[in-house]
Amino acid sequence: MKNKIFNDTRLLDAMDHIDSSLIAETADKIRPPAAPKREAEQPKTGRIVIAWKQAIALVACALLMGAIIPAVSMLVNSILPTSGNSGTASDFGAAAGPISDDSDIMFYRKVARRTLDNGWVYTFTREGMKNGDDSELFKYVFYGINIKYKYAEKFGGISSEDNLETGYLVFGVGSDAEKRDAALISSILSNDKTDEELLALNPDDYTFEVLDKSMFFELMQEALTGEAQAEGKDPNYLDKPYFAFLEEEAYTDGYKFQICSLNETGIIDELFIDILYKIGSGEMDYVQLSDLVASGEATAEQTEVYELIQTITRDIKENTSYIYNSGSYREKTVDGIDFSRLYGILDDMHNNRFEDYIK
Amino acid sequence: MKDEKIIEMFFSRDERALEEVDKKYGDLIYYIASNFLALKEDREECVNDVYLALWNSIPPTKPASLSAYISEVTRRLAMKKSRSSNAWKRGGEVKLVGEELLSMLDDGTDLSELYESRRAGELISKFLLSRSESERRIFLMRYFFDMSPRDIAKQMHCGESAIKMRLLRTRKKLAEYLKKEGIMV
Repeated sequence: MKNKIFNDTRLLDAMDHIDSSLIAETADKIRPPAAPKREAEQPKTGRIVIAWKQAIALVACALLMGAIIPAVSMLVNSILPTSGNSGTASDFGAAAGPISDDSDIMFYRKVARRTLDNGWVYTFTREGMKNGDDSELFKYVFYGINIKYKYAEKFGGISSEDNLETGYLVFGVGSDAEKRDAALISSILSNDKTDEELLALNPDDYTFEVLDKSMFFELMQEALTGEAQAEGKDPNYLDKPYFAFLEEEAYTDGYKFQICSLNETGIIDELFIDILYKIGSGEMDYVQLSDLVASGEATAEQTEVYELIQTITRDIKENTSYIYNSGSYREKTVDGIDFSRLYGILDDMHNNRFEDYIK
Repeated sequence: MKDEKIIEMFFSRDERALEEVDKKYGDLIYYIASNFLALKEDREECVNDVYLALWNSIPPTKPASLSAYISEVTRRLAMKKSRSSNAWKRGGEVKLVGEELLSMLDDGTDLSELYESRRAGELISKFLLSRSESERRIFLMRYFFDMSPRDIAKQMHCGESAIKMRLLRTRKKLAEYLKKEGIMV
């Protein structure tokens, strides 16, 4: 039966009769890569000359969610983003464990992550199909992303750059040394490897120039030997973009909120809420609350604000809801910081209104 | 340039309409063709066919949505070309798309009666309208635009696995919906 129908291609033909408004809705959202350049030619209509446009480079969407220079470092052996600020990630604060047999999910994900104080989040993911056919997947993904600093200048001038071999993307390779590290990791994580082969690797056989080699191999070990991650329960959270770096449009009363969130399979993997205090007229003239606290320069009131933000962050992640217990905090004002403004953003995130923040 | 203006140019037989289409939708046309056709020559020929089809069909056709019309024309021409030349892309990916969709229907029902394409298309449209925008988008990217889960993941800024999971769920829901509509027993 299946072959008969398929040979008739009727089901595919049915897609020719999809409502045009739906097609338009999707077509308008597709960001196709630039078509290859081609010389102008005389088409079949005779006199009509189609002026093929110049290929427009697909700009890595540094603009996504307001990021100017995405704080993304390495994304190795992953196919995910054409932009500088996407990737894949997974569990943090979510219930982990094997996926039950009655699950309708046909794949599993095993994840290990390190979140550093400077905002860098490094993740190793092992992804596979439950039926064992991993041929369509990138089984192994390693990447780093910065969830604290929007501007590269704030963390050392790392730029973003797409690279390189087909099927491999490396972002944030700001130096040749980083590129060499990324290329080495790409070679280590080739898809034809098995878990056992990776686990048997001797770290001493490899030399990393920039990246913490121990961390890489530890994360790989943890992910490959760990349990599969459970998925989120709220379907609304399946709609979240993987990476969102949001901020208020303008400084009001001398500050604005900034939020970075990583989401995957219905889980809020990571969330970083910060306050940017304006200290000058330039775009880069601000200090972040988290840095003031870390350096001991924060006032007692600012520290109170920071701790409140940590509580809110923890609640949100543990309960997989950007508006969890919002009633307790929404009306608060501490040290002149109006938390209703924070919840204005969190409400938008909860309701999937991310596009409003794209500049 | 706004689509309405481009359509006006078609109606006034202004050849710059094609240039404007090329500026605005050239990448999309080539991308859709690329999803169905493996060979560069086939893609380019398809793209030319699309421009010719647009020129010859507008007027009399006055598309309510130019992007949708262009997408549909491109898809049909690309599929026609791929079928005529048996040039399935990437060793049968188009076939795979069909099999994915059909897997949910493989319950012994006499599908030959049930899948009159127009009715199926209408029902699928109705179903999709009841879903979230992102769910619709992912479904159509896969089954209309023939994008790979990998490419969809790039566009949607999420993991490939998340895309596969959502496609699976949508297909299951669609199967349930079609059953309710009497399509499946």
